[in-house]
Amino acid sequence: MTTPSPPPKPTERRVRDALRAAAPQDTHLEAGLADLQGRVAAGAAPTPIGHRRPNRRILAAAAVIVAIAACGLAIVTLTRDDDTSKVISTPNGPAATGWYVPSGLDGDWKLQAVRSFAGDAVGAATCPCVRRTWASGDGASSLLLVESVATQPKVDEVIDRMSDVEVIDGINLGHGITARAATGPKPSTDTFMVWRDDDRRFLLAGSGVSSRHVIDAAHAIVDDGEPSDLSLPGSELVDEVAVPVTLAHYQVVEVTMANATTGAIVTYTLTPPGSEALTVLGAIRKVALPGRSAPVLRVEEAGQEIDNAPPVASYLDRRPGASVVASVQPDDVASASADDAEAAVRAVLASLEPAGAGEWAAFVRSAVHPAHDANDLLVGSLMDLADGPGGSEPEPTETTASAPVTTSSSTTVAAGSPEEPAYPAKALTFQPVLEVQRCRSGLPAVIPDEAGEYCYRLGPQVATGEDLFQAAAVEEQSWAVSVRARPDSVSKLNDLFNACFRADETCPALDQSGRGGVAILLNGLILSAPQVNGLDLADDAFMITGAMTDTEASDLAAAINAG
Amino acid sequence: MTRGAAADPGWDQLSELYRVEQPAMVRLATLLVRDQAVAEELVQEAFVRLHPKLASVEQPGAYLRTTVVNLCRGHGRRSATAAAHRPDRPVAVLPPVLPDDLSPVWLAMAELPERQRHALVLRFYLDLPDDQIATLLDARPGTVRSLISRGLAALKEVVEP
Repeated sequence: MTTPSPPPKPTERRVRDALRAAAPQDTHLEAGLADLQGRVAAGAAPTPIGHRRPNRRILAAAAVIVAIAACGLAIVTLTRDDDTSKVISTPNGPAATGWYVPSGLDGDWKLQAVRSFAGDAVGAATCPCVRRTWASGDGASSLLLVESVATQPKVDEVIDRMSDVEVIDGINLGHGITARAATGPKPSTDTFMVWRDDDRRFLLAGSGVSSRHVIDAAHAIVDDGEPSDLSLPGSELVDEVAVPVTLAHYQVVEVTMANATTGAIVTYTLTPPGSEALTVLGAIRKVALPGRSAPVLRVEEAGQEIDNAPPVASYLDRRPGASVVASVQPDDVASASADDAEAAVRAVLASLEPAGAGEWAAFVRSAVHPAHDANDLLVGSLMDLADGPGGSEPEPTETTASAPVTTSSSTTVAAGSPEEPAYPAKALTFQPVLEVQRCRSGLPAVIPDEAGEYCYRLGPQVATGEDLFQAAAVEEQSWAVSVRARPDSVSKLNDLFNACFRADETCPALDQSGRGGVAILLNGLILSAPQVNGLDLADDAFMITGAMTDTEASDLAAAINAG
Repeated sequence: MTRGAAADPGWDQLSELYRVEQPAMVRLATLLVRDQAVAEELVQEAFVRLHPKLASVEQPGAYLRTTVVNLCRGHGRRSATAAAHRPDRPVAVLPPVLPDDLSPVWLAMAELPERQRHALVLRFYLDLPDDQIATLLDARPGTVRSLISRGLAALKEVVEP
């Protein structure tokens, strides 16, 4: 199965046809000839790009490039200011608190302790970033690439922080780019490379492949912008995660579970999604867990082979609202077989279920040895912990200001009061869709859908849940919320809807129907992006659709009515 | 402009070559960079670069093609560098609608890694053999075969869902 069977002729024929169809008919030959005549007549030497008189088409192309550069700049600027208000894609799903508790484990397992501590400074400071992993099917070899913005020099520190490694400086990657590499720590032969390319910083880590191979891959990335020719046997992209925000001051929550019969002690940590980008490094492969539809990543961490003990594997499980990293305690591995230890980790990981604030609070209280700061962790969400409190907290924003403050709402829940709506009405926003395209790496300032298939570029926020009232959950083809616009807000919502209906510049047509779309975001995530099919929709009740359960639709309706 | 274009002895030859080659070069470059306006600009640049060498180059057509492919490859690198970061995936949504006239195969090709896509264009649009593609892409023929077969394998899902 490692060599793909040769594709049949139909594929080749379809590729030929597609290429013929995509090649333009009109190549503007006469206009081009006139332009060329001007350029060659201007002197014997070719005019350098950028100094000739551009015609209109070229100006248009230049405008696009400037716009893209500006988007990149915006992201960098946001990072510098720690201003999350304009980062509309926080990784926390509407229903995702980021808390996960074991469910259905046999009675031998007990919660031993819960504690929390500040996140690793390297991991915290490197986003916005994208982390991608390629691995061979047997996990024998893998490559991990972390791409961050140039303003995050901490990526380079990964190598400085390693001990027992051999460092090589000044590897020439061409295009004026020089990389730094490290191999080890012994006895592993893992290779790490860091370099900077204009406005981006890269970390490339290879495991189970030669240093030469990692350097070749780095060359391909510098040449093509992506590692197009990794030639790892049977390798595939097994993991891709993007974190749009700098995770400042985040907390790691560590849960320790102990099995009274086998003596196994398993620890899992909950951290904001993506915070592990630079901290979970090593040989990676994708594994399936019983009862879980999505595969998880098994990571044999670099340099963990200590004193003849078997290597410790961690499992990285990306869940809504949190990255879960589970492993067995190292001193436990020595007494148990590595297989048993891993089986224990898998069992705990597979049993984790999302928990609401109340469930999380009850779970923490059941700990045999609750940590002294456990009260701080009773409620709220991991993203609340990521954003504060304490430290140089960002300016309160529409989204964060209305998020529950950890300590105050903890008393509410502990006292057994009814839970507040899961999300505030203000977190609901309406924004015009400017562009939808197939996602590919390198698209600036877009929000992908859940499948990562289509990417959305959005215009400014026009309205929020506060502009709405009389909300009710209704079941149509799926659960949705029927709402009305508040009298003062009818005109601004109609302006948005009508601009999309007419496909104005501010809300251009998305397809040949000629209708623009409105993105409805909840907590910065796209709930849906329906096209507008009529004028003055806000005059009457209209629908907020999306992939919602009945509970989510009811919660949202309650939040709108409360706001 | 101090001298007329007609006074340039190379101009007649260049303009004749332009009329013959420009459409094919723009089509090729469009497939390589996926943007006709950028492609036209790169082709102009290739002709400008060819102009002073016209007398010494034996096969201007082949020289042009090499220059165009090189410029397109460089363009991919520059735009990749300019690109910013992709934010995290949110929860989702109604499927958006893409224009009907774009073939799904072409859209799928646009998502392939640049070198795979370039290799496919050179093979299936220009019908070049492995060794010529290898020269144009600065790769070994074995790598070219691997790029093409992996590209086709990736597209197979779209062609035969």
